[in-house]
Amino acid sequence: MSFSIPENVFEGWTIVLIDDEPDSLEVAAYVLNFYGAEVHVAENGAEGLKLIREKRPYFVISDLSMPVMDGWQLVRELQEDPATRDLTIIALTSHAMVGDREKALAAGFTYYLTKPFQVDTFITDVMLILTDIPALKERLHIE
Amino acid sequence: MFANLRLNITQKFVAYLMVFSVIPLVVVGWVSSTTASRQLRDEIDRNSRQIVTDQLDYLELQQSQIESLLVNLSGVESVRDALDADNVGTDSYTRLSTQAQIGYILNGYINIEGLVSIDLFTVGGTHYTVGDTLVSDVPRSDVLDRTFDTAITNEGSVVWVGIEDNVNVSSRVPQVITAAMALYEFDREALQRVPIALLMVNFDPGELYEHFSRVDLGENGYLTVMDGQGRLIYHPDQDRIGTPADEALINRLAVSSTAQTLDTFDLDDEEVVASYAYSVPTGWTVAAVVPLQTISARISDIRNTIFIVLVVSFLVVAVVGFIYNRDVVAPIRAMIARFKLLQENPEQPPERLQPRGQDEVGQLVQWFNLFVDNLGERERLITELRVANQRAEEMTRLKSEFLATMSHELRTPLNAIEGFTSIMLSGMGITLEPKPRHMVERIQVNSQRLLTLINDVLDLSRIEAGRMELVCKPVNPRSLAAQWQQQLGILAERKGLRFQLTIDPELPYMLQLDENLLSKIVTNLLSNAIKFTQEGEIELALHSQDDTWTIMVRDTGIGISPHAQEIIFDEFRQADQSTTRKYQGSGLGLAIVQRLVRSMDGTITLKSEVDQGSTFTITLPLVKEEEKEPL
Repeated sequence: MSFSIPENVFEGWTIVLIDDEPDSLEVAAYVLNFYGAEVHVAENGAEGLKLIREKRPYFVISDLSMPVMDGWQLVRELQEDPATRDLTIIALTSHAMVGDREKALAAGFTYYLTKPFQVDTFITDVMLILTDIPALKERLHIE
Repeated sequence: MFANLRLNITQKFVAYLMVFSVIPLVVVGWVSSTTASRQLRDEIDRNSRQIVTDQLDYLELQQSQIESLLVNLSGVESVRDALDADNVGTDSYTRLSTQAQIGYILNGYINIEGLVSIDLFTVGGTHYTVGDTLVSDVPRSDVLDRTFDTAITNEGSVVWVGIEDNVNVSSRVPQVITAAMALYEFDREALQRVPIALLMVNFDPGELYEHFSRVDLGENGYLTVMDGQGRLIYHPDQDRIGTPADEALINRLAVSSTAQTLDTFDLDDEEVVASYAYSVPTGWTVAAVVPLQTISARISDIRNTIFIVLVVSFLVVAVVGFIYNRDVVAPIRAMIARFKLLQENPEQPPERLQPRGQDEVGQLVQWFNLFVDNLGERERLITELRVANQRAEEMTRLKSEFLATMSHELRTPLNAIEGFTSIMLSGMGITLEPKPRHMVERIQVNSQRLLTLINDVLDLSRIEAGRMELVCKPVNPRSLAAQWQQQLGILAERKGLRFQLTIDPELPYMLQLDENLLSKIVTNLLSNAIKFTQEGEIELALHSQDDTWTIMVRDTGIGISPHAQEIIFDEFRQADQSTTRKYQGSGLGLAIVQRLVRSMDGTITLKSEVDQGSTFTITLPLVKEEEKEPL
């Protein structure tokens, strides 16, 4: 890619990553970790919630459909807690249906990314979300 | 008037019966009763006339007997002599002898039945009598004078006085029918005839009563006989004999030698018809009186019979109407009702009808039942088909679900492969020797091919299952085209191809369309164009027509052979099987594109020449933003 991303771009950030697919979790965790983030992983919403309260992450990336507690339930829990109400949560889903994006944003997710994510664009997408560049936001949900 | 008359079949049928049977019957009945009445009347009149003629004959026969008697008596010498002597005036012996002699002679004539007395009155005042009483009282001088005057008026011929009080007071018959005759003598001194005596015959009306009362004139009809003064000689009411006859009758009589029939008139407050015969010599009349009621009674018999026939006819019409209604109209009504129900509720087959008979209505009922059965059968088949269809839809749904699940399950490991190979190739802390690097690259390429293939299959199955729903919203086609240029222009640039974008200035700025779907179609065509073109240019052109607009994707690539053009839109086909290998792809691309275009009510056409390039043109209906219907 034409982007040159400094390897310490996420230096000092704690990120909680929640996904029930271990491989997907591992790939994302590797990439985020490579760019300097301290990544904590969880396999469902309940574990994720525990981790979030424990680690106080900078932001959260969570799958939507998961056993025990899904992403929708998780975001509701976080919304109800004043301590986590303003937390940035990025939804990550493989079931991209019409209206899912609007539904996710209405439910309280900050942004919405579709799986499978490309390793080379994943970091830039996350960066764009975090830096909140309006002109590029539109691109994020277009595969 | 009749056009507005809505009659059902039964009413019409009854009306026909009335018009063609009952009404003619009434007419025939009326005519026959009238004719019968007239004939009956004629018959009665004729009969009456015959009777009065016969009875007049009888009466005249009786009269002629008595007339002969009188004439004979007048000519008897001894009577003449006796009278001469009386007139001369003789001694009492001679008178006594004459009296005995005349009595003897008279006695010889009294054998006629019904004769009450024969009387001889001399001018001198002598009275010779023989009859039912021998007591020679002082006779009724008033009767005698009247009779004598009448007899003299007739100058010696027999005169019928008619019914008169009996001149002999002591007779058992107070009223008699009297015939009289004056006896004359030629007076030599005066040289003219002079009356010397009155010969009188008294006849018992009871004798006539006996006879006439036997004449049959029907139940209420009767005979009556009147003398020249209009006094009743005979009447069924014995008390009325001798009294004047009804003026109503007398006034109508005329002097006629033949029997006559009078028009209907009132007699004793009763309407009657009367026939009569008039005897010219005596002035007597025989009349037959028949009350009209007798005729009417007999005519009303005919009328009653006709009325009964009429009532029976009405009953027959009613019964026939009822049967007709039950056998013909009721089944038809039932069918109409069932058809109505069927119209209101087409899914509920109507009930069968009770079969009846083999006539046309019976056959109609049978056909109706067959129709109902077929309808039921059809309904059953439709239900079966519906069930089968539901099952098929369920199967399709399950298939789609299965495909969705499968594609998700298939993609999950592929995503992992993709993720890990990308990390290995991205240089994120991992360095590979050239040989393993090449192998990891091949893994990545093949996993991507597999992923594309799976995505294409999924898209196709979604389209086939009809689950591709359009999400139309207002879109600016110009910015959409710019987006495509931005996305795919990079790829073209990498291959050293020029990317040209042409937009018709007429093209509206806002159109109703499914942005994602159209992007999928156009990017597919553009990436194909770039893929199959080694040098030259790629052109994307948007044009606007009246109610359509077109998106043209043109390249200067390898082109497609005419044979391949025929099959290029089929599933899993590329122009050449070898291209699959060379250029990658599942071969589903154009099949999907065509289906997507069709789902947007559009068409896609292809013009191509080998080694010259290909032009794909998509034509879509132009739906302007303001034309959007409110949702």
